[in-house]
This record gives sequence, structure tokens and C-alpha cells, in this order.
Amino acid sequence: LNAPDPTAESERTTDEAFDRKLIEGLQRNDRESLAAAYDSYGGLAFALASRVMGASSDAEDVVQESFLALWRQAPRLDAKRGLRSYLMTIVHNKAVDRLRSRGRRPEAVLNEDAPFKAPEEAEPAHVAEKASEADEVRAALAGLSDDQRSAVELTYFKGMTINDAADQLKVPVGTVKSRLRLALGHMRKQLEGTT
Amino acid sequence: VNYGCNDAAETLAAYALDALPVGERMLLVEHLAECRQHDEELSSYRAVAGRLPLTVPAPALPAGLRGNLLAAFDREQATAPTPLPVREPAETAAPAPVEPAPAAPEPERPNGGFWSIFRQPALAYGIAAALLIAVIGLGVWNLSLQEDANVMTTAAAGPGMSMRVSYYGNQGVAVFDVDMPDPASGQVYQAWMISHDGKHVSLGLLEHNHGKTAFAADMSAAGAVAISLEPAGGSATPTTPIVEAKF
Repeated sequence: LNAPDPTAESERTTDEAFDRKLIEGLQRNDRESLAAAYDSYGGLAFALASRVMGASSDAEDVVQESFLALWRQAPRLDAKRGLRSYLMTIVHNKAVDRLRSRGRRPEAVLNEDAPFKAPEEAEPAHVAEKASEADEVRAALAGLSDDQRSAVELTYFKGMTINDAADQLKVPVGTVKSRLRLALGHMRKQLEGTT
Repeated sequence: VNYGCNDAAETLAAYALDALPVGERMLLVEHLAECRQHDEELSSYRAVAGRLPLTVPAPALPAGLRGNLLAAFDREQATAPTPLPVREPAETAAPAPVEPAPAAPEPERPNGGFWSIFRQPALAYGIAAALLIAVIGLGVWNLSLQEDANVMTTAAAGPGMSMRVSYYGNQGVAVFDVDMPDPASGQVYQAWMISHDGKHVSLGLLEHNHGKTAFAADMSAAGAVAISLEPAGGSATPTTPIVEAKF
């Protein structure tokens, strides 16, 4: 199995077929399918784990545990949803659980070099038209208000609960919930039709 | 706690981002287990959340990670060569309780008669297996929660009692939905997970004998769940098992 680029627009149909083959292979306990899944999505999984946990052996452990969990869950996977979505859910769950179970307070300072920070010249709609899926998501993030983007950054990328994020941002918990709801709603609209 | 649709709607986005503390996550999962009104919204939030990792620059993968993963796979394959069972597609219909055996006695109050059988654990388990315990393969209750591929569901029913359990592995939440007779004064219902080697681990006390109670737990190694009747405050080991269901 040759791994397609999971972020390339032109490869999406191929990706879906490829994911189906991977899922079928994982359901058969096929080692090569697990290796191919890693080759396709290992980089993305490690990027997310490292982002949430910081570069460490913990991130490596999370990635390994996540792929094994994906394999164990393979009999229940719906191929239509796509392997990447399942895997990213698992990676994030595990990274956040590990972070919180150790009582480790996520970094309190927002990363000014956050990857989704909007390029100053970027017109989100223009970017979304011609760029890769990753650029489309970056553009959607860039379209959020600073408050909304900070709420997403602290909760999703830093692994904070809404309570910790509220403490950090010095706003009520309800405000964090509201900002997250508005943020995902806005991004959903921006990304509609891009998949 | 009266947790309704408005509470759920305010919380769905945070849930999709794994940002809820355990207590609130359990309340939401309890609600989602029976309310279908949030399916579409939660699904759309999850779709967005699932694409957020694409914004993270990919660092170089550690050199040994691929080999370590495959070695771990090989080890697990060697120790568990039996393929994992493929579950049936999820159904959303309510479970059909299994008819009790005709000879089964009617339930009585916990302080005597039928219930007194369960004060003898060995006998209770035997009878439960023979007459009362009916394991039903259930679908996932709710499409929203169905997106969690790591879901285990099971149920058991007997005369005058029923238990449905769903374990949402990615959320680490187990929801017990029960309909049990009122316990005698000074007694409580206690929920248990049972490992494949038969070890019982308490999940906690049921908050109600009619309705749902959620527990935060890692039940990935559970082969079955059970409810027992215990003295107030609960017990370290189950003394009066009532219902048990295998995953």
C-alpha cells in the first residue's frame, strides 16, 4: 500500500479508497496495513501529540498507543468516516488524558507563533479556494476573533479543560463555552463545501 | 442534576474539543445517550475538530517509533491471536427485553423470597446465568455517540429488572441505565466491572434504581458488568449479585 498525501485536495478520493483498504486490513490484523496507516498518518499523529504534550517521549508513547488502539477498534470503524478522523480523535483523547492525569498544567502562555495564526495578507476566502485542506483550516481559524481563537488554542492545542481555560483567560466558564461554540460554528461555515 | 438540552447545546463544542472536565462530560454523555436532537450539531463540531491537527506543522518522526509500534503489534498478536469480533452495525432501537424463563419466580422485595437467593453468591451467579441473565447485543443508543468507535454496549434483563450499559471508551465514561426494584432500607445498588479473569472492580453506587448513572472509568479490560445489592456505602467485593452482562 502506497500512502497518499493525506492533505492534498486532489488525492481525497484516493484517500477514501485507501482508508477503506487500511481499515479492512486492520480488521484482518494485517501488519502491513498498520505500517501503511502509520506511514500515512504517523506524522500528523505525532504533530498533534507533540503540540498538546510538548516534544517528549510521552508524545511518542501516545502515538504508539493510538495506532494500537486504532487497530483494536478496527472491527467497529466505519470506513465512510475516514481513518484520519478516528485516529486524530484517539490521539487527542490520549494526549489530553495523559496530560491531565499527571496533573500537568498546560503552558499558560499562548504561542504567538501558533500555526494557525493568519498570514497578514491572507484573505480567508481566497486562500480556501486554491490551497490545500490544511490551508483551508488555517484560513478558517484565521477568521475567528482573537477571543475565540485563544479559547480553541487553550482547550484543543494546550489540552486545558474549559475550567482551566476560564482561569487562564480570566473569564467565566460559560464564556469559554460560548466562545468555543461560536468558533466551531464559524469554522464549520467556512469549511462547508471544502471537503 | 437536571441536565437538559440547553445545557447540552452550550457544551457540545467543548465536548468535541475534549475540553470538558470529567463530571460535566458524564452529564453530557448521559444526556446524549437518550437525546437525538444534538446528533447533527455534534457531528459537525467533530468534523471541524478532526481537521484542526492539519494546522500543526509536522515535526520529524522519531526514528524508532515505527519499529516500536510494529514490535508492540507483534507482541500483542502473539499473546492474543484470536481476531477481535466484528460487531453488528449499530441499531438505535430500544432493546427488546428477553423473556424470562417461565419458571422464574416473580420479583419480591429485597428482604426476602426471590431476593434472598442472591444472598448466597455462588448460588446467585449460577441461577443468574441459568434463568435471569440475558445478554443482549445492543446497538449504540445514539448516533452522536456512535461516532466514538470505541463503544461497548450490553444489557441484561430479568423479572422486574433491566440494565443497559454503554461504555464510551474514548471518553472514559460508562453509562448504566437501570430499572430495578426499590432496595430495602439501608441497602444500595453498586455497579461493577468484571475483568476477563473474573476480578470485580467497583465503579461506584447507582444514584437511582430507575434511570441513568454515569461513571468515569477505564473499562477497556472489562469482560462484563454487574450490579449488586450492598449495605449502605457499598462493599469492596460484590456480596449479592443481581444482574450481570457480558460485553
